[in-house]
Amino acid sequence: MTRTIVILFLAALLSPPALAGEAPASPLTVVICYPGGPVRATDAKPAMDSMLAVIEEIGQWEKGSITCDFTSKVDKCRKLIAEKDPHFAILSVGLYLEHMQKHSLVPVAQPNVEGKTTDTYRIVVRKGSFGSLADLKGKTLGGTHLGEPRFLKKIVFKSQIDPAKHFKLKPSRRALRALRNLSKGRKLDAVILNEQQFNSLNSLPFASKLEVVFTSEPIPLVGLLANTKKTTKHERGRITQALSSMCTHDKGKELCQMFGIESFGPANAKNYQNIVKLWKSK
Amino acid sequence: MNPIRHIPAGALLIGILLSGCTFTLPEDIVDLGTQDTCPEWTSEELQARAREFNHCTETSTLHCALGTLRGASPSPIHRTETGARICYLLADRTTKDQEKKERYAAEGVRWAEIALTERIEPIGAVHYYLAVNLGMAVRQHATLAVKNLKRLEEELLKAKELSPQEEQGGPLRVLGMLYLMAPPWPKGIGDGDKALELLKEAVEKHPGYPLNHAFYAQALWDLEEDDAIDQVKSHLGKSRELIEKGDWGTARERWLKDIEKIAADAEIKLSETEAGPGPGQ
Repeated sequence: MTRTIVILFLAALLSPPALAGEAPASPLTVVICYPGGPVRATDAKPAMDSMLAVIEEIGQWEKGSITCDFTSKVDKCRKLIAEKDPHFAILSVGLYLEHMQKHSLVPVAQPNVEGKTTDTYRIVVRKGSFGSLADLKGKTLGGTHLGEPRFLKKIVFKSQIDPAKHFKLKPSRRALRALRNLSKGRKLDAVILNEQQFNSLNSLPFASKLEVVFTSEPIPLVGLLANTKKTTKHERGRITQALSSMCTHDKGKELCQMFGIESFGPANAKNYQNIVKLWKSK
Repeated sequence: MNPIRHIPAGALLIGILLSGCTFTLPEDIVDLGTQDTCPEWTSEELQARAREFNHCTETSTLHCALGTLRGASPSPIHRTETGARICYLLADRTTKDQEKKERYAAEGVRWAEIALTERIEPIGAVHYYLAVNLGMAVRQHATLAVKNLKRLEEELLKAKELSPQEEQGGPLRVLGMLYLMAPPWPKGIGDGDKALELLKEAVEKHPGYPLNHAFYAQALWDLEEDDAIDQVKSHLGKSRELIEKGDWGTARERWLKDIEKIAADAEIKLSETEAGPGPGQ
């Protein structure tokens, strides 16, 4: 859900051109990917349009000088990035790491969601069923974060296991459905959750039946990415500045609250060094 | 001519009273044009006639009915779902002009609110048409849509409790789709299991209505994907068969497009689908 919030929110923020009152010679392109989510491209559009209108008002930017593509499918996302070679992108951490070199992507703005700029993944099981990751070998793992096995292997599990081989993966678009199946011992032996999902477990009547057998290191949230070869430092700085003032603006504040985002700040490259290193490790 | 003049004083008052609600009504209503050729219905005649209105009813007839309603003095018809239902039929068929669609829908919400305020006992159909109009009015506006999700759910739950049969299982169907499309747990009311349960019930209780099959197929695909592909094909096939065999007026082409989209999402060729053995299978 954290990713949904960030992605849908940022989708609109990216739409204005980089320079106030000026339209670029050719449209700026943005690719937004929300792998594994329940959002269809057509359904995401109104959210993006609504937020775009606010951003255009805030920044006094000319309308329609940027093109934006959204998908919730990993394969389609890869295709879009290859075809568009976008100026900006909003991607999952895994897709960012996968494309950072070829498309010269760097994080330029980072969101703060519910007081955190990181996400932590946990695996939950029925109490007493399995005690460790090793016990789950060959078992069925469900959840909404299974669409990028390499990200799970390299970053979440730090190459301790290869989830594609260790588990039978059963991706789901809805965490609640996976958790219900788990609690009933139906189809699933374990479910992977992100921070927000885990923190909301207590709202479920069967929460006491579940327990955690794995917790990842905190992984930095990725917000807005820029292609450094296709955007200028000025453009990147301007968008970052716009994002940073968004959540204190009258109308922008409402949107920030709606999506649970407290603030945006400039992304610090140092925060991503560790995951880049893990990604490149053999 | 200011079309707002046709709104009865009671309606305006309700509009003012409701201005503090989450949903904000558009300032204007659709100009229905000349009403010179419209029959001079009394409120009683209109109420009787309106019961027969559906997707096959001519738009001009619906305009006449809405114009009559706007001009009528407060009467029993304003305590029914009539106005909301007429607006729903008009909004639903307005596909190329979003602003106009939203104005019809917003007016439908207003008529439903008037009916609910005027009535002592609840009426399920009013809650239902309030919800479907509200849904159409806010769907393209993200913040409004999110803010109104809870209200939509509450209205549809009331409609399901009081008149589950309205529009061939409409409360079950629309509530099911609300749970399917709304932001999911942990932040939203979206709930795939509830969606499947309601849409299956709609198919079982009202198997002759094409959208029940179409939406159940969509939910099955969204939630089960390849595990339910045979059921998805079966219900899409049934939906297509019902659309092609029935007289659905202005809805026919829209519904065919809807099931084409669902089929495309599931990478199914609609021409290869066949109606399955029966509901809930």
